[in-house]
Amino acid sequence: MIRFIKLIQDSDLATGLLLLFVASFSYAGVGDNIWEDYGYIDWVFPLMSCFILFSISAVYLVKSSIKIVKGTTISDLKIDKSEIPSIINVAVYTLLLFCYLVLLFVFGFWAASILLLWSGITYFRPEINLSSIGKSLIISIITCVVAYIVFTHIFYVPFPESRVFM
Amino acid sequence: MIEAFYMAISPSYLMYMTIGVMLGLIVGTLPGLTATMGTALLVPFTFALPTGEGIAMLGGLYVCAMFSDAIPACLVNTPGTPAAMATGFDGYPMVKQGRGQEAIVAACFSSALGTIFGAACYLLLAWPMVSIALKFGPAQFFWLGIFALTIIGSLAGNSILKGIAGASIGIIISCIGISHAGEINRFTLNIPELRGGVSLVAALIGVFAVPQVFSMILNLKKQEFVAEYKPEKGVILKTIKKVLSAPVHFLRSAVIGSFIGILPGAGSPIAAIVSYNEALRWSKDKSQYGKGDIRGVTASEIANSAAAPAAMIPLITLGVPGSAPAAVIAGALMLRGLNPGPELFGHNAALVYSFGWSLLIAGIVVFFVGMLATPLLVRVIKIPLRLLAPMIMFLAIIGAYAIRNNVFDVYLMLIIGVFVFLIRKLGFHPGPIGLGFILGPIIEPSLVQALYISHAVGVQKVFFTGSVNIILITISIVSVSAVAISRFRARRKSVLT
Repeated sequence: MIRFIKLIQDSDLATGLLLLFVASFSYAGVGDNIWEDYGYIDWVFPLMSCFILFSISAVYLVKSSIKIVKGTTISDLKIDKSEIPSIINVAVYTLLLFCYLVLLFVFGFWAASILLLWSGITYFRPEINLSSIGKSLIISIITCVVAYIVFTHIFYVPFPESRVFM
Repeated sequence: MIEAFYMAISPSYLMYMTIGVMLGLIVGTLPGLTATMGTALLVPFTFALPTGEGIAMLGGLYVCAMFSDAIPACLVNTPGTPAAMATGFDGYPMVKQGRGQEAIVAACFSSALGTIFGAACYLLLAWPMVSIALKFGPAQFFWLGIFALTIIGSLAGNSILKGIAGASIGIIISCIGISHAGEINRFTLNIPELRGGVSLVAALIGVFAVPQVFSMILNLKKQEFVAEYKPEKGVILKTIKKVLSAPVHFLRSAVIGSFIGILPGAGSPIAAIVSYNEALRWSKDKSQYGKGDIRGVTASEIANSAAAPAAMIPLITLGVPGSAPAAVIAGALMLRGLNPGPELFGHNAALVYSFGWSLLIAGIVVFFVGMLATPLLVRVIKIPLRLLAPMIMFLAIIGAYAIRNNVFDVYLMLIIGVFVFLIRKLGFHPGPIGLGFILGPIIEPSLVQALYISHAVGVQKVFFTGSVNIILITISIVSVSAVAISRFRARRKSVLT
């Protein structure tokens, strides 16, 4: 397992496996109608792309196999310890974004959006104190007001309504 | 035509057209709001106005959106509309080098020039251009799309294979949904929401904006702002001189933009991509493209802006809109009982020509509005990243939602964004993925139609005969060969040194 993790840190092998996965996943999605009359016309274009992906993945897999045999693999995808806090930041923020999409329908645009902006801005601040929390809140409210006016009043985009605050 | 000119410079025409330009500035700047959406939303407001003023306002919005979409593309590497994708290839590196003001001024001035050129074509060359465009059938559109795909060679970064793979992934994503031919579900994984396909705008926001925001978050400790910005005196004049010092480059981009603009369905995004590719091919010094070359910004902006007025040519002459916003303007005319086409030219020539003049004047207004707004807009890059990243993401989410009022599009945008962010680490460039996504829906319907025709007359006759086919195939082969040769030479040079 450890050896596999070490091997997968080589970008050529990782690229080959990723492309093989995408190509296989796409190929598995091709419908049965491909062999019926003109059915192939529905699939010819995505299949062309799919076969290109298979071919490129084969190139990378062969390349990395040669590297493995020769023992010349490089761990160019290895994550440095100093990068981990930043990666955690990205992961936490991504989680926040998915939570926002759920909260958008629970609390509606205002509460969810202000919460998303405020939590994001506050989370990325180097120092957190009362003043910075207040400033983040003001910036979040102003951004939401501007977005709300532009999108709903000028461009008539109906935002999701709250299921809690009716 | 003179009478139409006087109509176009009347205070009421100018006022409504300028309002349209102002709205276009907002529409293009905000990711998710497209020129089509903007014109469609503005149509009801134009009912209260006389026809001429109403369509001048719609035209003003359309042409200004073609400039303002370059603003987020340059400043934060997030194209405001699909047409600005190629602008960001060099615009963003320019901003990173502290040349933000120069990038926006170049985009604005090029846009104005492109619009004026496109509008001049509309006024003077409508019929001859349409006669050439009529020679384009499905097979020719297919080859045009393939030709546009050859730009991968310049976008792929270090690995051309990864560029081709990225474009293939973009194409596969663009195929999700109900097929063009047999109307069957493709790659929908039994998810009903996927039957409508992946929204182009949401996917492009996912490809460009989301990974950009994540990169900002990753670099929060190393970098406080997008780039340094110090207002420079005389940068406007200097940039204008730079743009004007390359008349051949301007003419090539404007002709490409105008010609592709009149092809129904092709539109500004493909015009910008082809123009960028041609600018690169004909350039003596290709080394700076993609690293902050002003010619990359101007090539894309001149072409996508020239394509906007040119898209009105087939609408006015044949009744066939050249782009989605042109179709909305056609609808606005039809709601007033005016049917676009030769009849409109015959019975309402003053209206047709005054619209052309309005588009031309809109180009000039766009320049002045852009120049006034630039010093303010460029300051975006001085907003600390810890504030800018959440704000861009918030606007990206709202923009992806706004396009179809569907939260599922936002989920897709985030999933695509996370995927692109991760594969960027493997050396994939977002450009080819976006390119595949834009060109997929243009190439596939043409291929499907051409294949159906080929059942009757044969594949060879449909795809490989006719002067337009031969020209497009030849230039595609030349384009691919040129990229292969230049890469081979570069590699040999690096091995030798």
